[in-house]
Amino acid sequence: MSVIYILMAVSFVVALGFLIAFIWTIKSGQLDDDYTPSVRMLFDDELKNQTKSKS
Amino acid sequence: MQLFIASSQSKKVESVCYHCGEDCDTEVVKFESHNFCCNGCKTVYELLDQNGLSDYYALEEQPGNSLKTPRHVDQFEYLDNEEIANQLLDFKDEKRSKVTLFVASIRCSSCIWLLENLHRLQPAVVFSRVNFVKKEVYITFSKMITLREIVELVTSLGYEPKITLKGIEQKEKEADKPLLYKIGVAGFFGGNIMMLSFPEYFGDKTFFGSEFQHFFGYVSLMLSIPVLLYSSSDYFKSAFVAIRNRTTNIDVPVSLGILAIFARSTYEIVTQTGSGYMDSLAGLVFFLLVGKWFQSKTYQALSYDRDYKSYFPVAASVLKGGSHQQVPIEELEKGDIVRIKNSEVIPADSVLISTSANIDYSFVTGESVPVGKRENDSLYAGGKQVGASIDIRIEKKVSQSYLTQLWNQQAFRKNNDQQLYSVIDTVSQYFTVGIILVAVITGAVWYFIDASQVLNTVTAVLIIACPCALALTLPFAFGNALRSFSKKGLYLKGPEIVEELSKVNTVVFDKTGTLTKGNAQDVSYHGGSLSGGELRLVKSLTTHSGHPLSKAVFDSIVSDEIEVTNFREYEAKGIEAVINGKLVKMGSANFLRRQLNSNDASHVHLQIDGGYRGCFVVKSSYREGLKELLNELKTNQKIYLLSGDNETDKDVLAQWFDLKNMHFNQTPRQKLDFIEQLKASGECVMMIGDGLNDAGALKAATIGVAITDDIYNFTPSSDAILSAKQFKSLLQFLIFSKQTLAVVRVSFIISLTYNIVGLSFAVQGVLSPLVAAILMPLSSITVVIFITVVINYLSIKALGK
Repeated sequence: MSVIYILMAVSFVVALGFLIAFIWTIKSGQLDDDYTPSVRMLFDDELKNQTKSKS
Repeated sequence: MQLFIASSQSKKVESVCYHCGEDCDTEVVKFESHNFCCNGCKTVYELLDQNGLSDYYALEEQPGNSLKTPRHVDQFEYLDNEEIANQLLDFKDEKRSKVTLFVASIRCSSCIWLLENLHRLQPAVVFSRVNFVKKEVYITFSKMITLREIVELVTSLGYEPKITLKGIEQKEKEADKPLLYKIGVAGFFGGNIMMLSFPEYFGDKTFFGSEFQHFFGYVSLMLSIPVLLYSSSDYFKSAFVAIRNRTTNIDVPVSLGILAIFARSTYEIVTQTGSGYMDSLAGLVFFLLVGKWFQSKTYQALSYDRDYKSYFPVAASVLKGGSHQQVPIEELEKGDIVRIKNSEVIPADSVLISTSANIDYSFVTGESVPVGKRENDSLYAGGKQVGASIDIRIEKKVSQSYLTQLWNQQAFRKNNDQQLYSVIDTVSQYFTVGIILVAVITGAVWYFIDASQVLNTVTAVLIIACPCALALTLPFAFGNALRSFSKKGLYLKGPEIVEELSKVNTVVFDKTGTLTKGNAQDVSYHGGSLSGGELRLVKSLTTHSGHPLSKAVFDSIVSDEIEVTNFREYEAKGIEAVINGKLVKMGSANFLRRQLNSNDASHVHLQIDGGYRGCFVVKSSYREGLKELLNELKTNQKIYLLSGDNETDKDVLAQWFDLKNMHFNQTPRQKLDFIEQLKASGECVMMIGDGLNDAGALKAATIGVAITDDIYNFTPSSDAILSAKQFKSLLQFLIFSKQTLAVVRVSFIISLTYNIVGLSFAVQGVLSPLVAAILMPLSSITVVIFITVVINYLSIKALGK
């Protein structure tokens, strides 16, 4: 059963990775604007369509 | 009256501007099979089309902003002043600069797309990015181009940025981030602790054995330390402050509960008598922080605490050695000669040098009609010139001008010691006392039954009594209410305003710009009916005059214009000209040398070739739904009117306001004093105003509501911003706030019931960790769901979808 110690350590490290990722997203301002990226994402598609149809 | 009917018919559905979507009612500019309302809109279309940016029109229909309002060529000349430019830039080195512009007119995905593709219009733009929520554009540009050119480019596309001194001075703060870190930490450690508590939940010791139980206990103890020290630190601080001031707030019992859980659990783990309640601790802190975050999400693009500086321009055009130079307005000195163009704001108290000027003081004093000034008249800061450019000589520095002085008076500052959340603080005072009493009695009773159980039961009482559901009630109730309000156009500064709103029993209105629409005026015609040809004469004549009454008449007539000869304007009297060989005169009764019974200043009489035809009556145009609103409002609130304007509209307003409750010709100071008096007599006062003259009153009132057509525009400092379109829903807003408070009370009862049930276990000494682990989140979740569902239901019922 001592494998549980290793599993706990592993799960803790993985979870810690997510915590660090979360803090990093806040720090780098990724959560400052929760609307514009959703719109921006759609532009790329439309532009590609247009360039295809032009060529 | 027929002319006005004709005007409404001429608005056809198909003649909508392809660029901005406005009705092309006065003229239609045709270009490439599209209709445009003005040349400005057409130019933008051409520019975008030539640069392959016509996707702009494909993303959304009529995405643009109207360019009808003419702009000065050198409107942004001051940006060439290096000092000002450097203050505005976020970053600058030899190669490139970065700037953040606040553009209120960003409103759809097309706007985002165009502003992020600026580099295709202007290669010197390296990068541009939009934050839609904050209405900001971040532009990085190379040194090939100046800041002025960037701003002019953006403006020419219809996205005029708002550049103010205030914006320069105040770089934004990032208040939300520490809270998010705390939520992250609480969530992370809480999750891990819960995982370790799983064996405990199942009560299965055979599988893991007691060896693991102790190990898990110590690990959860370690994991809970960051939650205690970091995530819940705000609650301890707030509780500490409250105790030091010899008061209590909701954070006192919360902190007490958190500490009790931690102490009890640590004791159990260390003495190996149990496994503790660390999972409940972390879950509790996590929930509380989420509640805090939920109510803190306010409106980033709005600002409530603007001062007079953001109303003034950044720089003024000063005559120095024969040429005009842009000077930041705080550097203006006495004796400087400044040129003020049409619709520019006078930056400091000064004297008029030009022969005449027309100053619009409506925002500063509440006077609805611009005031004519002559050479050597003194002008006060804050007025706007209407008409041709004027020269003025500065008499006082900006910081010493009348308006600035007024603003800096102590009385105009709201004392910030007002209580947040008075409901919950009263409840929590009784609550804290109650808990301590119950804990003491339980301890005393158990001392006689079984002294070894005293500590056990007392901590159990403190743990279960921890008012997490109670503490979550207000954040969720007010947070939800805040969102409902903002959907309908009332933007509150903070959640605590909801509570104040529910107590309002007196509403005080300003007149100009609040009850009446800012610039719009109703024009009606009385007299012999006018033919189409005669209307054309009137339109052609009024187009040459800058007088506000002429403008109002001009705007009300739909017709083309013809050439005019011998145009003359007699100041404060009238205008005349020869059109089509006919002598057309318009103006006051005096001007026409006629004895007319109406001698009102708002009447414009018309005479063609010596024959009197009739008169145009220009009236303030009241907001939609005003009648219904005031009729309903006066039945359950006291209503007052405070106007800086004259008594012209007294008769109309008398149908709603008692004569003794209407006050005209009020100075800002008088308005402020009046509100203070009302407050001193125990009323809870809501003041609704729009102008700088209301600023003091807005601050003095329990709730100051600034009303505005464009919520991103300058508004005086206030507790709430009301979109003018929603003026008519004011009563619904008040009703809804009262309902919200009722919901809060019910949810207090629910959470207290939970506490009592939990306490009944705790005092008997039979509180198992399992019951604690279920009861605490269950009570929080019930309360949160109850509040969210009920408040949203009520908001749909009271305010509509």
